[in-house]
Amino acid sequence: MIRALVLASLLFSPISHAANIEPAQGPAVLTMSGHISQYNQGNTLVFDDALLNQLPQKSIRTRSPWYSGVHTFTGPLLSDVLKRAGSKGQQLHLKAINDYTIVMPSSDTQFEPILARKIDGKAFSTRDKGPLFLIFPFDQYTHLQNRTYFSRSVWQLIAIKVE
Amino acid sequence: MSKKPLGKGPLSIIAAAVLLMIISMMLMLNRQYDILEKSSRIGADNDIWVYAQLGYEYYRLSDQVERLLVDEDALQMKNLRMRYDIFVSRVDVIAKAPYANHATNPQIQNNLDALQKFIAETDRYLGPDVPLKYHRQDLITLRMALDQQQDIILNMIQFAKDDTLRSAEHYAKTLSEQSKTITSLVLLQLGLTLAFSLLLYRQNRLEHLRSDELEDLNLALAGATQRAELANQSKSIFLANMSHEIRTPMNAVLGMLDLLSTMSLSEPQNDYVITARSSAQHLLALLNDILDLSRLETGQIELEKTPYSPQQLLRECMRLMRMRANEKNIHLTLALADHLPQWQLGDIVRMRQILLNLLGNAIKFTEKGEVALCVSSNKDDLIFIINDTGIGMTPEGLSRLFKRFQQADKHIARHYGGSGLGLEISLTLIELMHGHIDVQSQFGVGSQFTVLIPRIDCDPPPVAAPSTQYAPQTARLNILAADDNPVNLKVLSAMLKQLGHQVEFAIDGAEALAKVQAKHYDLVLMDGHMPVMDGLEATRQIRRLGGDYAALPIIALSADALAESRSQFLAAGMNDFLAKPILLKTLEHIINKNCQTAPASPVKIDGH
Repeated sequence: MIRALVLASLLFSPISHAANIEPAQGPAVLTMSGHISQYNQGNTLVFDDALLNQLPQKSIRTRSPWYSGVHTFTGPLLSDVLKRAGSKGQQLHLKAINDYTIVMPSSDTQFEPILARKIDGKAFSTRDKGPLFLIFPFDQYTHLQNRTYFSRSVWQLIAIKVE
Repeated sequence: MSKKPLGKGPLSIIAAAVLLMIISMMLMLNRQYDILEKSSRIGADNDIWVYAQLGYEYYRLSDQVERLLVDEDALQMKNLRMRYDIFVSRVDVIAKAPYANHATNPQIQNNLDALQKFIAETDRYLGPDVPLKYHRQDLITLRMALDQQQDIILNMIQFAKDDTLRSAEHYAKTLSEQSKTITSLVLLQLGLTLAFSLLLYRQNRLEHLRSDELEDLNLALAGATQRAELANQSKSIFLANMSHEIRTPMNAVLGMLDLLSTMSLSEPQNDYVITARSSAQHLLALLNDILDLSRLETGQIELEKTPYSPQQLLRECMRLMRMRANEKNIHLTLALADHLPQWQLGDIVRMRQILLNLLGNAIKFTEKGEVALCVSSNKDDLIFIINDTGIGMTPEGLSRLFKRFQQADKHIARHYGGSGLGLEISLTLIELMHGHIDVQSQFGVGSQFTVLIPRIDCDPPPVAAPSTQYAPQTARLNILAADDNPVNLKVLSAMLKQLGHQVEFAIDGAEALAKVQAKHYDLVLMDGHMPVMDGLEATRQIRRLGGDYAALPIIALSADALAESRSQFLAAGMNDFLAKPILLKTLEHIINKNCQTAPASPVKIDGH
């Protein structure tokens, strides 16, 4: 029932149903703030595991500088998360658990990065660069294999501020 | 020549050197790319950053422990675990980083081992699977353990800093080394390129020199050819001039001999005159041949195109040759095919010359048997075939035929005489007529000459030449003879007196024109070439006087019947044409003809 409501709110105008996003029940995984139009806690949108689970989960198979060999990363598309938050900004401030911050343009969603929650089917723990790891399909878009995009791949991601 | 184009050896060595250089250049660049690739990680997650983060998280963890020891807040335990997890993840990053080279560095490995030991111990009360509980003793233990790690972490940071410095230095050094190598390679390549350019330049110059030499040689050859041609030409001109000069007195000799033969001579005297005459005629024929040839050579001969009857021509040739054939007791026959064209457009004089030459040769070289002329035609050509049963020719002889001054065989030439010019003249004339001549011969059996002349059919000429016999002119005529040569005039005078006419002289055209106006003449004999005014111009002016002068018979005297065109004289207004050497008979004939067909003036009639 709840899922149906959420889906309905996605299908119809998200703004008129702004208040309808349920507050996070579980521990906060990702906090969205800034230039967004959907909120569930003050002027932020807090995702818990349940909320993230409602988004389509995508998988990327790629090599990366952080792990040896090819691994499968699974999680929602960044673009879906932004859409869910009703993001309107051009820039994203990504913040990691250790306060590491990086700024990237919203247009980077064209490369279909995901907020990986799992590596090879296993959930990321904090120890394992989790719970969220922004991963670009580096093997698909080889031109992303450079310093800029490696630095944009934030791990232990906990917050996104839209500007 | 010491300068030679470079062989294949040195060139292939240079090519190999260039190839080698390009390959090493590529390897060098590839290495540089690798180094750049490695350095591209600097700034993202390089060693110093990773270790700095480790140190940072270490102090945040220590800070959290201190805070909990001061303020016993169970809720803050969650934060402690988070800080601890972050610290662990940082250690993990260092341990797993594919770029960190701890495997080769025992000190880092030792430090990592110590840190992992610390994690293993701390996980017993702060690990993910342990329920969180505030336990002061554990915190104190943790603080002590953390204190022990401080030196390790500082040491790691210090080491990473040194290592980064070292690798940066190494990187800079490698880059500068490679730059040097690449620079020298580029210089070497520059040198090679220069060497190549020099080689090309040299090659190019050699080519130029060679083509210049060739050009010089060509010029020299062309010059030599031209000189040879000039020499040949001047000889020909000399020969022609000589022949021309000899011909005038020869004409006089012939004329005189002709006159002499009409006088009453004793038997031996008559015999001498006949011999002298035939010798002079032979000499004149030879001179004419030489002149003809030089004119043919210089393209001075132009063929006339007037209607003639081939059958008449052939019969005339037969008549002329009959005597010589009879003398040698040779059977001379003429076979005419049916449907021969009646009239042809062409140069009858030249046609006659060709046929007489070929027939004359055939008779000359035949001792017994027969000479047969067989004439036929097809739609394109008139075909003349002359067969003889003469001495024939060997293949070598055949190959020399048609060459100037050459007869097939020197001994034969001595035996039979002749200049050897006749065939060449015939050949050239036939070619001028766009015809063709072919010879087949078998030594000792006979020869066959085949001549093809392009057929140009035409209508009969408007007025057929009258062939009536003229009544002998008995009246004493008053005749003006114009010639610049006194010997010629003397011959003419003697002949005309012999014929019973009265003669007066003019030495050029202008004098003739004046005399004609001063006194009445029945006939003018006018030489073609004279100084001051030539015969053609004089005739034109006489005709222009009008009245009786339009009807005054003027006869051209041609020194060279073959070269001077009959039509040219007639066009100038002359009535007839008399070729030198002038023979008594022909002179008489032409006077009879012209003084009868053109009726004499009333004055003349009144006078008789």
